[in-house]
Amino acid sequence: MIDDNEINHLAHLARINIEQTDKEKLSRDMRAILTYVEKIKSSSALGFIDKNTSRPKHANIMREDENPHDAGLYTDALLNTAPRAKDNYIEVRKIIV
Amino acid sequence: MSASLPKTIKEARDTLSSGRVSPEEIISETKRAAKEKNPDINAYLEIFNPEQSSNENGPLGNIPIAVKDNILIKGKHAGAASKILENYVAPYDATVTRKLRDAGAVFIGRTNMDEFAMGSSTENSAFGVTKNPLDMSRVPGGSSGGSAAALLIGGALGAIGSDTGGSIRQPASFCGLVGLKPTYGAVSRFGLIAMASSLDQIGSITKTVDDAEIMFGVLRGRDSLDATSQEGIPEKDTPSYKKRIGIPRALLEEEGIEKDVKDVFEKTVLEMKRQGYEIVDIELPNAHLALSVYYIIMPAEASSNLARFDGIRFGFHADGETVLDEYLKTRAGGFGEEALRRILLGTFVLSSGYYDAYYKTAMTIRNTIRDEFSEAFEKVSAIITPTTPTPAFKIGEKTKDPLAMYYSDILTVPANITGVPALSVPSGFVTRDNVALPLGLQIMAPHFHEDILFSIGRDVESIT
Repeated sequence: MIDDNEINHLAHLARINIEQTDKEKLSRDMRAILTYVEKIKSSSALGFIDKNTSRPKHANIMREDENPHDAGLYTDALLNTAPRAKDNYIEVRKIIV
Repeated sequence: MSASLPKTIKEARDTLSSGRVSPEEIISETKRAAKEKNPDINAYLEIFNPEQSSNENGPLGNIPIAVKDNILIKGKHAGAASKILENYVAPYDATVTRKLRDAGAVFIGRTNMDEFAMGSSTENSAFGVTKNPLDMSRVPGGSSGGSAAALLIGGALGAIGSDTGGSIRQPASFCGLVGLKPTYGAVSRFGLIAMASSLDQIGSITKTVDDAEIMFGVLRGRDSLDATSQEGIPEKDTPSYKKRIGIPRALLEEEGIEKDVKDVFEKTVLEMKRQGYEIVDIELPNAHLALSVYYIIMPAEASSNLARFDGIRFGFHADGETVLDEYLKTRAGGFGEEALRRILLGTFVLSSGYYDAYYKTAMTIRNTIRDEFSEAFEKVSAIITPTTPTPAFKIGEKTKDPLAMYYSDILTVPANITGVPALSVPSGFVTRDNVALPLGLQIMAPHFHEDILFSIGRDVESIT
């Protein structure tokens, strides 16, 4: 399942350059881990109709979109953490090429 | 700490209120011990300048507390021990930070950890290994190893950490301390650098169960800034069979749990029977799969949570020619090996073609394990196991084999998978290379029944 092509594909999806990593070791380790976690296929839980009796009832907890804080309250604090900021903006490389 | 100074939070509160010891003595002695021992142990990434308690009469008035590097303190560096957040200064307090400060706690410093809480030994920090003060050739456990070590060197009276798969309980076990992972939702995660949002929980490392209860009282509560937090009313009252406890025997038969660890556990069980506990065998048919489920769900959530580290809004930034180039270089330059591995694993199990077989299946089994725990709690009020399959292992022993390292969590992950609260209490010792190493006994209780943990924990604690 995890070969070199797959590793490169995953690294691209995750936006991480892995040219400096030991891809051999990475694939080997990931294969070993995936082999281990595939144990889940043996679970007695699979293949049965879902009882769903004691399933916790999840619901989205949303608050009303109201009471905004004053504009600009946190701007400085947030811009101070940005590696490249200019005026009131965070600066990035050209996005539309 | 010198002989006359208090060794626990409870003792400190008593001696402070009686005036026998002054706040200055406790805090300055704590800082002195921290500064003296830290170069050898590396428990702290940073020791703060002298701080004043903002509430001397609070439940933690003038109590020195250590804070794990993934919990934000406004104005201080926070980085989850990762290079990718090397210069990040927190612009706000975590809710737990605010609560501790309001209770009067004095923060001594921020403690070392495995990068992004990914690890079971504190060997994955970008800023060096933390050594176990009980045996410096061994690990203190992880990922909250720094917090545990800080207590042992006398550099704090209590510590907070985070536990996603055992990261509080396992270091507590390896260091002879009490570690509490509260019920999922009992403590706000606002201001905790997220690893796996359905598994993470902030908790405490302390010397005693009483101290854990004091800390929990301060940390707990519903927070409007964390939609997953709750006030913590248990669904059911403490049952009438509260002295009946279950042991999931099949789980203890898993390979890798060392024989003398099991022997020590059985000895404690015998003592608990003498204390009047009825101990029965229970079945948790899918609990042995909890580790597999965890190593699918956790990397999936972590890969999503760590997507924010792109060098744009905060943290480490590597220059590139395009936005994509900068993402690729920043993340390559900032993440350590374990973080990279887990991000890629998570990306894999969520990717098209594999999502059903891995992530969706894992979620189904997760629900099943949760149901099995609920069924067990119809018959017993708590479930006990050893906390860890081994005592503290040697530095470097498991770093070459990720699976061997992951295996340390086999007994702790079920509590994160199900969300139940769990407490590790020091219980017995084993010998390795002529050194006595502590072990922990883990107690698990139904959701929001930390009271059961403290009650049983105190009994286990009294067994010498």
